[in-house]
Parts: sequence; C-alpha cells; structure tokens
Amino acid sequence: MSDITTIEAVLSARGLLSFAGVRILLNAGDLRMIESASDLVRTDPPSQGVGWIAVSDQWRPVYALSFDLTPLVDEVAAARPVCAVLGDGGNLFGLLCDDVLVARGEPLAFRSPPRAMLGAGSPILGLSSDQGKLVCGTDAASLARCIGTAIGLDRRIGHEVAET
Amino acid sequence: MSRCSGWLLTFAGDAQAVIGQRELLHLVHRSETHQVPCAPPYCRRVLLWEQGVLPVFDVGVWADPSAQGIADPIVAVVGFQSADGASSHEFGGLLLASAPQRIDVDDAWACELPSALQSWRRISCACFERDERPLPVLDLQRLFN
Repeated sequence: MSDITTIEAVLSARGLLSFAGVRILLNAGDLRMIESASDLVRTDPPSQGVGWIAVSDQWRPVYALSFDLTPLVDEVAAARPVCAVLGDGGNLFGLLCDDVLVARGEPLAFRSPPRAMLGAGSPILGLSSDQGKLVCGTDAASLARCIGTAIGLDRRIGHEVAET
Repeated sequence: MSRCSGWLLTFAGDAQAVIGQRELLHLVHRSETHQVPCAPPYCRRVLLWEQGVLPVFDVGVWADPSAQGIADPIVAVVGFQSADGASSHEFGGLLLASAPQRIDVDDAWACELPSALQSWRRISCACFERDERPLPVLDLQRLFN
C-alpha cells in the first residue's frame, strides 16, 4: 500500500461509537484519538463532564452521554472504558464509550431523518443500518453543539483547554 | 355516489383514522423497531425494512401526548407517493393498537373536520363520518415529511 493510499485510508476511516445503546457513526476525520478511560483526570471535572484528557499538551473536557445525548455524571456512565477524542478544527473533546470501532469498509447509505423525527437541536444527521442494528450518523461539530446546549453554554464545547 | 375501500387504523388512546386500500403494505411487530436518540415521543422509532430505515409515527401519542402506551403494538408499513411528485414511492411505519380493519367508504359520508380534531388538519386530507364517528383520512406524505 502506498503512503498516499495509507493516508487516504486513515482520513476516510469513520469512528463508530457505542454507548447507552446508541451506535453513532461520525464523519470521516472527526475521530481524532482513542484513549483508555483510565487516562482521564477526574478531579475538578468540567460542568456536567466526567474529567479531562490530555491531547497535545492541553487538557480537553470529557463527557459521558445518555441515550438522548445529554451529559450524564452517574457512576455507570463514568465507568465506560474507552475515551474517544473527537473534534472539528481545533475544538476537541472526549466522549466515554462502551466500544469504539474504526470503520474502513464500504460507506453506509444514510437517509435523512424525517422532519417529524428531529427534536429541537437534534445532532442526528442521518439514519442507516448495519448488520440488523440502527446506526445514527452525525459529526463532531453537531455533537459538540448538542452537548454545549445541554449544559447551558451558548457555544459548542471543546474550547476549554489548559496546559498540561 | 361512489364507494371505495380503505383501512381503518386504531392508535394509542383509541384515536382512529383511515388510509387508502393500497397504502397498507405489511404488518410487523414493534419489537422489530429501534429507538432514535433525541426524537420526539410520537416519532421516536424506526423499522429496518428491506434494506431501508423507515420512520415509525405514533399518531395516537401525536394526537394526545398523555395517551397510554400500547401493550402489544403492531407496525403498519405504508407506502405513498414521494413529495416531489415523481413516480417514486416513500415508505414509513404507523404504530397501531390493533390490527387494521378493512372498511368501505361512501363519498356521501364526507364531512368537515370537527373542531375537536382541528389539529389533524396538518396530517389529513379529508374526513368522513361513519357510525356517528368522524374519521380523518391520513395524508401520509405530509405525515412523514
């Protein structure tokens, strides 16, 4: 495999996140890193977050989400084992997941949810199925905006940084 | 006077409406549906059907958010002409409280939507009265778009 092909394969890989019974497929490139949740610093967490993860010498906020993609701070959600670091541009944040799969196969065909299905501020951009299971499509910016709204910020989360 | 056939559908909360005879395609059990995050209670499920993802609309909960959930619901797969007016079809699911009932409808039974059902104007294209009960005719294109 040439270097160009390798780079294209990485850029086109899409993160499939599983938590709380939801399967979320992200836009290619939005999954930046996969870390162990044991690497989180859980002292003085961000508002409605579960801790911080170090990314390129900066601390990024980490959240655990419910089925409806609102932040949870309960012990079960905080015990999810994998931290997916997501981002669009320079805005990075972590999501605790039960499982993260890097999908490199044929892209799924998504259909837009009907207008009646879109609750206010829903980050769900498409619906598809894979092996008999529902897959919801979104991107990091939409998720960040959704979390930011849920915790009362007038902007999307991911700007909070601190030097490590 | 002319008569045509349709399907009488019963939803949660004993709400009822009618669809055309050819719009009902398939009946499946709700256990085959999946919940969608961040969706409102009346349109929170999808059905994976023939390689597609179909939205499932709960008309009973839409009409009355306090309607009790259905113990053993059925999903009616329906098909209708796409909104762009082309010859292609779209598909969706309706959550039913009981099996659909085939009925004959007479043009002479047409009536206005009663004031108690004015909210149904958004999702219905006609109404008729049968056994002293007004029955909206669902406009599936508007319901699912």
